[in-house]
Amino acid sequence: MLIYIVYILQPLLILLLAPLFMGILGKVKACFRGYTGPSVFQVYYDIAKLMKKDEVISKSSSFVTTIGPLFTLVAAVSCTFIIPVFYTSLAFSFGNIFVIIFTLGIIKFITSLIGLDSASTFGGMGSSRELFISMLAEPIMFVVITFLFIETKSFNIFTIAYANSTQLSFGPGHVLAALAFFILLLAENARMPVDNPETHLELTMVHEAMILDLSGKRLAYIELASAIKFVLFLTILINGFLPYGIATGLNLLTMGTAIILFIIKLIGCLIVIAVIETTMAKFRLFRVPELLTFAFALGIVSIIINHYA
Amino acid sequence: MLETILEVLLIVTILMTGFRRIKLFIYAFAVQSLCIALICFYLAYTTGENSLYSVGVMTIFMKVILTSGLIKRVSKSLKENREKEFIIGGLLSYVLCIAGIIITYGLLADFGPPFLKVGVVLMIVGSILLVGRKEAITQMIGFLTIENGIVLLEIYMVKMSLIIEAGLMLEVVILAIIMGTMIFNINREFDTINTDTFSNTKR
Amino acid sequence: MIINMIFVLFIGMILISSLLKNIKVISIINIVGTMLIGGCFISVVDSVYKYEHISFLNNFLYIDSLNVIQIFIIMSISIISLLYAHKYIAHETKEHIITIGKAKTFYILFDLFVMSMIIVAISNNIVAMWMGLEATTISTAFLIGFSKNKLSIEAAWKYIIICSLGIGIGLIGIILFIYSAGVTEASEIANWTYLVSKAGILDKDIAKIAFVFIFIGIGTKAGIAPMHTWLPISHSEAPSPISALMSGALLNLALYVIVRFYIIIKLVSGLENLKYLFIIFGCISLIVSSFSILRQTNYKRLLAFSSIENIGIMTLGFGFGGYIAIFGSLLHGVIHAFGKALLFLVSGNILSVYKTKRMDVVQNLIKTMPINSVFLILGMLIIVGAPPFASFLSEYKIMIGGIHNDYLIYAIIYAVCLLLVFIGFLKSFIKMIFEQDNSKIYTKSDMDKENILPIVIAFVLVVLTSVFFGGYLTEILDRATLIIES
Repeated sequence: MLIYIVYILQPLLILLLAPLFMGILGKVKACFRGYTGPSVFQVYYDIAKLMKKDEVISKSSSFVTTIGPLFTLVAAVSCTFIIPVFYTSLAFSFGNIFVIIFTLGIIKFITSLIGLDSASTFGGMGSSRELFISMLAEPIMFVVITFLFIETKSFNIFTIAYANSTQLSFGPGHVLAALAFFILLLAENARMPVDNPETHLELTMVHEAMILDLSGKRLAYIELASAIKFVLFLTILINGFLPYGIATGLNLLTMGTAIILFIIKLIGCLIVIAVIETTMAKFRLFRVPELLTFAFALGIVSIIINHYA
Repeated sequence: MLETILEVLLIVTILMTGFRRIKLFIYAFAVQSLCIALICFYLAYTTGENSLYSVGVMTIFMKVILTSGLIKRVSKSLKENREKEFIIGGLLSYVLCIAGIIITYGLLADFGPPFLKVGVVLMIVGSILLVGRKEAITQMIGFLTIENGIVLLEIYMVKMSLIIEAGLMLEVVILAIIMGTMIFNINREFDTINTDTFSNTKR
Repeated sequence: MIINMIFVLFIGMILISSLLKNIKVISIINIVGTMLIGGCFISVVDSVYKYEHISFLNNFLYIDSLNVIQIFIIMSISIISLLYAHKYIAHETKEHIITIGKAKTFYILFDLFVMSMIIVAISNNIVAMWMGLEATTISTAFLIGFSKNKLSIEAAWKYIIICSLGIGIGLIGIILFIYSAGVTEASEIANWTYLVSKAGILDKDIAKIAFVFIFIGIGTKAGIAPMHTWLPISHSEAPSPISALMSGALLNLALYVIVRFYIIIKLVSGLENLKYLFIIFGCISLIVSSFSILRQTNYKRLLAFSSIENIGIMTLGFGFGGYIAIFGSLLHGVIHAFGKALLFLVSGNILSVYKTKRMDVVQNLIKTMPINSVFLILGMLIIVGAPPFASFLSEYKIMIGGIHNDYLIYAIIYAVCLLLVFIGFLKSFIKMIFEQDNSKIYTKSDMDKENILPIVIAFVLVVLTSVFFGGYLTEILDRATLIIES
């Protein structure tokens, strides 16, 4: 009985708290920069405001702009159901990591189509840049998945989280793969140093350029989907590489501590990302391949170290 | 614990192949030497060899503080602080680095403890920097990285007396001083430290 | 204790050079000090002659006949260089080309250089040998870049990078060598005599890899091609007495260190193929240097390439093996040291008169500098291996050794390269000495008589070696060959 509550509670936690985590990120960045900044609930207010506003859709865009944003939201929400947040066990039959990755890829694919479909040229520019970056980022994903498979002998993320869940010291190559996945996270979610999420100059945009033309409800859907995707990537990072404290039994005490530990780890990752965003500048587009090659090198080296140790 | 320090060392080393700014090279070299000193301390703690404690302290003093400070002072007088063009750099150096790591781990599979292989990787990365770059100061940092790799090799293979270890480190510091002075002279004469402007002796 | 006195003399010379201000006094004290050290060593040599080998300081230092040759070369060439440097530094200081401080630095670094070479020559500990070689790199780095113009700074940079890298690779080889002898804690383990006695239990694979590393690493310092790229520019840009000392003594010393390890390797069974390392690299050195000599336009660089060629000949001799070839190599080392020192000092004289290193500017030496041109021809004959001098005997012996051991192809390459070197030398030097341009007027330079004494001494030593060939020298060479061969 309790297991069904867990099935519903895990995705609900992410869905409801994703905008809150984005707000916390903004607050930490503002704190580093020395001003008060927006409140932590600002993203909720923004989405609520956007839902009430009217929309303007260009006559030269097609059905992609009309139904695309809803698709991305659906993909993001459906992905939250198959990821461990605070409870994992060996008995899950869903949760294959390839399904998660490719579902999240739907969001990127449809957003790129929306960018191409928009009436301005900036959308096309944003789409081509986004696809260029993701073309180099896909191999890193596969290399990290291979490393997790070699380490824990399974493709199911619940099993991976279960296998690493009781220890604080790791096998060889773990830190390297975690760093590779972290760089991948920065690349996929349009964070510094790959893309500046706060820019208002169109020629420097990668992700924002694709959604320049959207407004109203549709923009709200895309914003929410981006926030959920970001928190999902962070959850995979935490539960794949440092799942210490995750609940493996069904009693309330362990699940309570697991939730608290999860939130603490997530806020820790947000602080690291805030430090990176504050201290580094965005890379030139043709220097992003170097950063991604570095992450790829880390991934391959982690596999080699694990194999030969 | 040892694995984590070795992994940090590997991360810094792989990062070094892709750097362009000279300040970053100096920081990476300092972090590298610090990791080696930590490995020395950890090994001294687990195997009980007291001479390794002093090796660690000497490494911190001579390499992290003295040598990095020296190179920093030399680099302050230079006009340009990054490499504009190179022979092997960017993506190619990462690829060579990965190939080197695969070959090292493959050949030396059961030979020794993991820090031996990391030592050989350090030497490979140092050679890539030494051979593939045009700025004199990067060549110097490549050479110092090779010496770091030799230190890792030597901790495992030979238990030498303290005087010889001290002599080795003193020699590295003296070489760093000499190279630094020479870079200073090169900068004064040629107005740049790009070795491409050398006459490149043909005969 | 003799060794204590030697080191006290060295440290004394360095301290005096740094404290006094009068360059002439410093120079005379250096010459006298070096002669005293040479005198100390004569008594050591005498004991070795009587007892086959002696060791000092609890087996830390060890001298047998092989070391005696090196010590003899180092001390005599350093005395000759110091005699030459006396007038050379005085001349440069008088013309205000260099300051007094730089002249003092010259002498301090010179003494450090000779001291580190002596440490390599007399030590038994492998790691001390390596540290001595490293110390020679450190002390010669600023000596090569002495004149602070663009080309010498470039030469100094190339020298220090390539030689430090080579010596680093040599250190890896030495560490692997010590590792292959067993991982015990003994402080004796780094001694050469200990390793020779334990040659039977060395791990074969690791010893093979270790020797390859040592050969390539220390071969960089010895000037074996293809690791020779620092040599032409360094030896041609350094001041002449330093070039003489480096070409004569240092290259020989590095080869000696490689031969010490080769003696240990020869005692391990199953590693006979390592002598092909010597033969192949010797042939590459010969080919590279002989073809380069034919195209040179800078007479000091030509002499530097000739050093590479002679080191190649010696390497080839060690590779061919057998009593005759190794005897030839050791003899060639001695003769090459004096002949090359003679040639470099003569070229130093020519440089100070003509102020350029280009061969097409230097013309008609027979009229402008007759005494020097005579010595130039004599030096050329010595280096090339003409019959009255002992270098003919050494090169001939190496050839005979090669033919005896059935290395016919390599012997043919060797002969062809010797011929090419002869042609190259003749072409360049005859043009420098005899060619005259009828539109110019040549007068005899009055600097011709200066600084002839060291050159005469070098030539006299060569003649003594060639003429009085029996007796003491042969005995020492004979014993050294037996150390390597048996």
